[in-house]
Amino acid sequence: MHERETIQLIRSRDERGAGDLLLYYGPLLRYVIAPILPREQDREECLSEVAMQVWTKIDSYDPQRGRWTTWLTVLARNAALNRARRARGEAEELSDQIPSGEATPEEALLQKERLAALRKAIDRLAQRDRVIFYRKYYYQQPTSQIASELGMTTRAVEGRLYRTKQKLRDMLGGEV
Amino acid sequence: MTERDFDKLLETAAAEGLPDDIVREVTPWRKAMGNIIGGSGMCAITINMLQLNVLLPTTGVILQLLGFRSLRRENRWLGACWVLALLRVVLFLPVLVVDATIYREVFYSSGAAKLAVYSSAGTQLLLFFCLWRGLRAAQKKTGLPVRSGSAGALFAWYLVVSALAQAGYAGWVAAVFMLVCYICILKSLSSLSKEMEEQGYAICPAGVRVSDGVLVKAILAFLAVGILCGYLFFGRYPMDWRPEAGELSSQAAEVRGQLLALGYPEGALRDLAEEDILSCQGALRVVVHEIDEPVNQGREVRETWEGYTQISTVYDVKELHLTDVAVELPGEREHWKIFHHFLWTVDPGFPGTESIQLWPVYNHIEGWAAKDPPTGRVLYDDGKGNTFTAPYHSLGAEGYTTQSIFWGDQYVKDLFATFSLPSRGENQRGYISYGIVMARPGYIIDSWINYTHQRSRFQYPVLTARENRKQGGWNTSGTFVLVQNALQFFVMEDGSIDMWE
Repeated sequence: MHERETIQLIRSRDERGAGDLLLYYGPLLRYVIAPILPREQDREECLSEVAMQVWTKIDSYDPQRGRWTTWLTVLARNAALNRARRARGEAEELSDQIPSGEATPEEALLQKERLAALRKAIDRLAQRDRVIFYRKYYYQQPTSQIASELGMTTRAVEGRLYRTKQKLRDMLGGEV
Repeated sequence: MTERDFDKLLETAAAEGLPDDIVREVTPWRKAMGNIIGGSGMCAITINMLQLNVLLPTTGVILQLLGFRSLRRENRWLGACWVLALLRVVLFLPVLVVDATIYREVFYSSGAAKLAVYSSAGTQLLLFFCLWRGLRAAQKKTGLPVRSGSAGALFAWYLVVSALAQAGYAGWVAAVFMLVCYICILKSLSSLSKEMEEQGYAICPAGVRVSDGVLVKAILAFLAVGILCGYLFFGRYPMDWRPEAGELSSQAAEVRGQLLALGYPEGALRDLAEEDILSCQGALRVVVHEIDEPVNQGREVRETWEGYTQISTVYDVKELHLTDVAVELPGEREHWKIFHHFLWTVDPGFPGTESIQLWPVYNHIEGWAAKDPPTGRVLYDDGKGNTFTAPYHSLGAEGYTTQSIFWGDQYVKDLFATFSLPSRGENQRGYISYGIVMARPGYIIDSWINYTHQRSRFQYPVLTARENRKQGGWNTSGTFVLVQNALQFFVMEDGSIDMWE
């Protein structure tokens, strides 16, 4: 609703654009960040980081390629994941169990084909299953959140996710 | 591949691109608000066609319940909406079950129905008010400018509609105007909801122990079982069938002999209760009119001659035998007792509700006045030589308002008898009688019987044959069929009878 004005203001480097971004789209950004970053302080820092990214990367936003809220969601999710990974990475560096070494060209090709097949299989899922799938694997939302927002019990969500995964395995010919 | 590796693969696949339609769907607001707006739209308007007057509000109250259920923790106004939506379900759904029984007639004429209607409308009004306040509170929470006028307008609109309904306004101009306003409000509410999607991300829906799907299934199961029970067990009047009492008293037997000698048809005479026979003591003469009437739709016959085609309906079976009898009784003023008998010559089929409406002579012929109260009973044979009788479920004068395109609304008072025929036995029959006394000489005796038979249980809401008749039902192809007959004669100056066929 306030999309055009906000984008316009940010593009013209008007500081009111940053204010509008946080006012109108702050709830969306917080909503995307929250499930990935459990600590309130991390969330606030991440929100500032995302706002900065929007400010600096606004020229890369192309309405032809997707909705404004989709672009914001991708930025927020990636920023939150990077922050979470950075935090985890410090801990993980202490672990010996991290597999090292690069994949061979054959493995990389195989992985690429597998991902392409998986993307097609995901697109063929029923809309409700797709939404739950993306909530779980893209938005990283906990089952309880998915359940309450969709008016389902956590058990029902878990069952649905289990069946979706089985379906995807079957669609891939059981090779995974 | 292990479960964990597969999960990683799924995450990677998901991260490759986020479709716009998924972003649109992933919000805690959209589903709840969609249910609320859709439900409110369906609840606030009544469309009297294709059962939409039942289907739309039913879907509406369920959607409102689901919508407010997830928003109930957001603020106290939306919490109040949830309680009111629950109350609406409790008030509304049982009425749908009552509508599947013949007792809806009793319910709607009682104070309980008025209470239910006013409570339901009041609850809806309050719910729209709380929705308006709830949306304002939700907007304030995120620090955004408050804009919830359409929800307030919906409240005001419902208030005006309720006031118009209370005042009994039925004009077209205001109705069309209100409909246009209503569509505008819903449109505005829908765009408000889209606008509020931005704030909607700040909403934290309440968790549920029972999923929406299970809740809807439970409500539908309650309705299905309730309505089915209504159809199966509450679709006919309870009748107090008892074996016919033994022999008549010697006095009654003597009067019966007199009536038989005067020409009262023997079969019909056998059905009279002792008190009705005794009421004919000293009978002076008997006038009889008999006719067979069809209850089926007949078959169409086309006859063509000389280029013309005549289409007529032929009835191979005439199921109902009607016998109308007038018995003249001694007295200072001319006094008659009128008997209208009916006899099913074949199995009457579905044993639902039956109704007899009498247009007694004194109702429309000013020369006659009412003398005796109506009496009568229903009977059947069990096929083993036993006869069972029962009083009518109800018998007496009833006032009601008829609607006519010619004369507008008219309040009339007729005699009605209601009953249900047994699903067993044969020769299902009965009669109604009443007395008249001359008020002024020189008037015809003109007594009408309107027999309404219910042919099927498939109707919703359930109407009794009496309700159908009061609504002016004439349909011969629907659930009810009407058979109409009249006893019409004039007593000439020389005392002879001029029978009108």
